[in-house]
Amino acid sequence: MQWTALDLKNLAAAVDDTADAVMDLRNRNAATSTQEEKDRLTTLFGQLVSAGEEIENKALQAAEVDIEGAVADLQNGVHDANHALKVIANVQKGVTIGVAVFGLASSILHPTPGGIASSLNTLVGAIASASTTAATGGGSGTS
Amino acid sequence: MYSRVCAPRFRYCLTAAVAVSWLFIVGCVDLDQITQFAKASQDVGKAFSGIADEAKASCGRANSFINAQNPLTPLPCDFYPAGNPPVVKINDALFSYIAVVGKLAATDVSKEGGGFDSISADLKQADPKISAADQSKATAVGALAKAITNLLTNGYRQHELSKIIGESNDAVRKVTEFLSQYAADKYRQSMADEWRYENSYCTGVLPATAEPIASDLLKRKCEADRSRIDLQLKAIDAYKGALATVAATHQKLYDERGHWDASRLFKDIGPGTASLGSAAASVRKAF
Repeated sequence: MQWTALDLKNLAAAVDDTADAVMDLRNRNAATSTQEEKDRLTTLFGQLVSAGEEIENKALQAAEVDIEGAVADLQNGVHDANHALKVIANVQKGVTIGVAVFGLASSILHPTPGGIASSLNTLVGAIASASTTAATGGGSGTS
Repeated sequence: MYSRVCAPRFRYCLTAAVAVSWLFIVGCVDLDQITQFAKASQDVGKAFSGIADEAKASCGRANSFINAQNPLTPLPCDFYPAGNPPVVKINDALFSYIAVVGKLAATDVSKEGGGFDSISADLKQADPKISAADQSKATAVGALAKAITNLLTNGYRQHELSKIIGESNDAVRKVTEFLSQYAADKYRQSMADEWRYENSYCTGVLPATAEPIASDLLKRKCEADRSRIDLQLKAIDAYKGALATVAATHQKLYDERGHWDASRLFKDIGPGTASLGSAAASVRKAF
């Protein structure tokens, strides 16, 4: 599917929002997280910021890009992830969602056959799992 | 013989001459608003190289916050040394064109130094993956350089100005779009990411048991830097707003060319001129 530069710029902004949500999760849980969890979230934050810059660059590199996925599906997936990151407290679930968004961003930056669809499925699954945990009251504290 | 043949012709010629003179006098509207607009835009244009320099420094500062306690991915800063000069040149060409349109500055075209034809190649060298579309926008600056030369060659006449604005409108639109979407957005992201990386350091490095003085000093430093970066982000937004004003004003001049009217120009361009003044103040304060 043909993505415009604007589509990519919007996705880059959404990935930046994911990075901010991961940082917020780290700060919200600073008192209860292990150092390993904090480092994992910090590393993930940096990966997402860097991916946001790379997607922004890709938007500047071409007026249109052929990407194996619908704009709305991928952008909605990242927006849903950002919403989930804002409401959950479970650090491990947050890491899983953040990693899934980074995986999706990476699959857009470095496409392989079926890679984007697989990454999107992983992201949807991570969000669904986090939502189930939150709904059943198991979302507080760290794993 | 002369009086029989030429007298009617003379009366006709005299009437025609008076009519043409009258049309010329009525047609010479006061273009002071264009001059004021061009003057107001100059401060914004001059500040751009400072924004470009600061973006490069910002990227370096962001990476300086990476250490074992703040294990982030280094941001790519290699764009700026080669990428900034052609982008600054494009900005300078746009605002020189506006200055010449306003008959204020840039009377010496040699100050531009030529080389506009190579801008596309320069950008390609700076960023090998730059799109053809962006190169095309950057190349539009060549049309502005030609307009500057034509204006200076032909002198400041309303007819010529109207013609040049007509010929340059598309180039102005493309160049302002390029600067806003390509350069300003990239620089904005650099500064926003500097704060992201510093904030990660500020909130994650010191343990709760750290010396109170160390914590306080770090907090003060982080708050001061946040204020500075916020100011810079607002200034870049102001620069982008100024580009939009330049494009919109040029479009109005284009739409009304051939029938400019002083009172209408005041109404159409006055607010834009005022907003350029505010943008210039914002950019000066931050960079």
